[in-house]
Amino acid sequence: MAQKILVVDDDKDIQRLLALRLGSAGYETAFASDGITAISAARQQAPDLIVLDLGLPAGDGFTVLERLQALPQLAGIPVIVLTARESAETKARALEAGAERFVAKPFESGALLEAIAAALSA
Amino acid sequence: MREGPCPLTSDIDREMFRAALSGARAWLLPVLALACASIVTAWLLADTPLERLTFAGSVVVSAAVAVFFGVRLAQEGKRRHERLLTLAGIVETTGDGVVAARLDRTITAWNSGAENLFGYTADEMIGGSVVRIVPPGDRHSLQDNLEQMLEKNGMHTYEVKRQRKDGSLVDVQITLSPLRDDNGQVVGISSIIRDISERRRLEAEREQLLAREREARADAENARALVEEQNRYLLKLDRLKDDFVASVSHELRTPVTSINGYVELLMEGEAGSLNEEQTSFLGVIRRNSERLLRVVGDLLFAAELDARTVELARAPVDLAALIADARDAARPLANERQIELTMDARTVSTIEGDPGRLGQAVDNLLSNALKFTPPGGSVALRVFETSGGVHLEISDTGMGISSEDQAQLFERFFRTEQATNAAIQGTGLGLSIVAAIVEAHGGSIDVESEVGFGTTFRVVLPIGRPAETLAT
Repeated sequence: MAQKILVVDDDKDIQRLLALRLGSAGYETAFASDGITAISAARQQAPDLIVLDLGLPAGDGFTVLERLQALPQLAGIPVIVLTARESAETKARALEAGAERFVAKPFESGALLEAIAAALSA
Repeated sequence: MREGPCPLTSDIDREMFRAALSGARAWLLPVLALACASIVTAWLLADTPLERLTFAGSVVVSAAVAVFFGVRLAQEGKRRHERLLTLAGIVETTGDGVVAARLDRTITAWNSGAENLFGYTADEMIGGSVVRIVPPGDRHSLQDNLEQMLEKNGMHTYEVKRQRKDGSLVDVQITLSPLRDDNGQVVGISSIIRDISERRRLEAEREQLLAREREARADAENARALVEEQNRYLLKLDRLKDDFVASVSHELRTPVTSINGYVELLMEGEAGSLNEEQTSFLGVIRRNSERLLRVVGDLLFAAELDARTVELARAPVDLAALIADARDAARPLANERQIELTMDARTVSTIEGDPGRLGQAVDNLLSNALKFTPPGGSVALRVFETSGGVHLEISDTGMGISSEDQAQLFERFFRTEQATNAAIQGTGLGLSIVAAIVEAHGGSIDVESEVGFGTTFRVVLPIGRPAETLAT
């Protein structure tokens, strides 16, 4: 059965781009554009992995991370964080908050797919 | 009588002599009378020589007794007199005014201290009223203070203003004491008057100094509060700036993500196969998107330099390899522009630094060299080591840089006129960033150039010195 990836990003173009890329790579995809929808989608859809844009408006990116960790049934899902912020501080903070991996925007699709594969097999 | 040093001595002497005499008279007269009576009686009654001798003896004894008492009295008087002289001397030589008055305010004594203080002589004041030195409107205070003294039945001290002969007012402290007769009845008032204008002046001065000190302290407190407020404001601005940099970073990179992503999809044929032209056009879009990213990166790096928050990685860096990589990356462009690109790299020691940033610096210098060199020219790269460190040199046969421009070359946003005129692309940030990166590694950068001939940039990086972060 195909593994399901939940993509959380407020940018529709990036959502579509990822839908194409992830679809071609054989993954099933689901989407959320904000923090609240992300959590309920995670509950309902039980994805195998979440790709999360840290740059969600109103600081929601980190909030989602924290909420995912707080909810026992969701804490086990690996999260790959996508962000335009490259600072070591952001990276550290994301990893501390429970992110599995960190991929910078703009990303090379190859790099992203590699990261997803690695996170799923771990 | 001896004349004493005090001018009043002769008067007092005579007084006292008269007083002693009048005192003595009380004793002497009856004694003399009795002596005479007994002498006459004894003489009349005396018959024998023995009786006459006894009589003579008693006369002598009586006389001796009389003389003895007389001398004693005189001595007593003299002692009292001397004591009075001493007291009078004290009253006269004290600086304070000593004034005695009867209950109806008539002055009975006025010393030289009072003369100096008020300007009235003793002759002017004795017999006159104390009211003369009381300022109009203050007359009631005399009665008040007299009553207080009587109530206390002793000394009463108060501070008040009095008026001098010339009309001027003076601040004084007055101590009143009751003068009693032999029966203990109060018959007069003695007052000691002290000029306290000096004290008042000092008090006023002190108050002024204290007030000034209070003011100064309040000013200092205000200044401190102001500085604190400014600091808070600056910290807030700083934080806003950091937030701004972070959000700019995000806002610029996100759209580029989509541009790159969709171009990549197209180029991979995901939307259908492409002809050569389409592929080429997509290549242009891609290239410019990368360029945009670089500019954004430069701007953000410059902002970080401002904020001193740049983090440098620390890793072993082989500069020869670094230059080789840069040359390889630049080769397509060099070929395109028909510029000869050569490299002469010796083996050099590894240094500790940030490979990414150093690579960025070299790329920047190399790209400049290619940009400013016309077709047919050449760019040469050199790496070698001396005791001073590892040297990187990039020379070109380009348009060169004038000496005036060389002075400003590493300033942010500086572009030479030639660059602008030749419409050579660039933001002007590149060299300032290169300089910052080199300096952060403890190195130095210099330029040598001649207009029309070419330019050489020389970078020296120390060996064995850890890269410093630019964060303070």
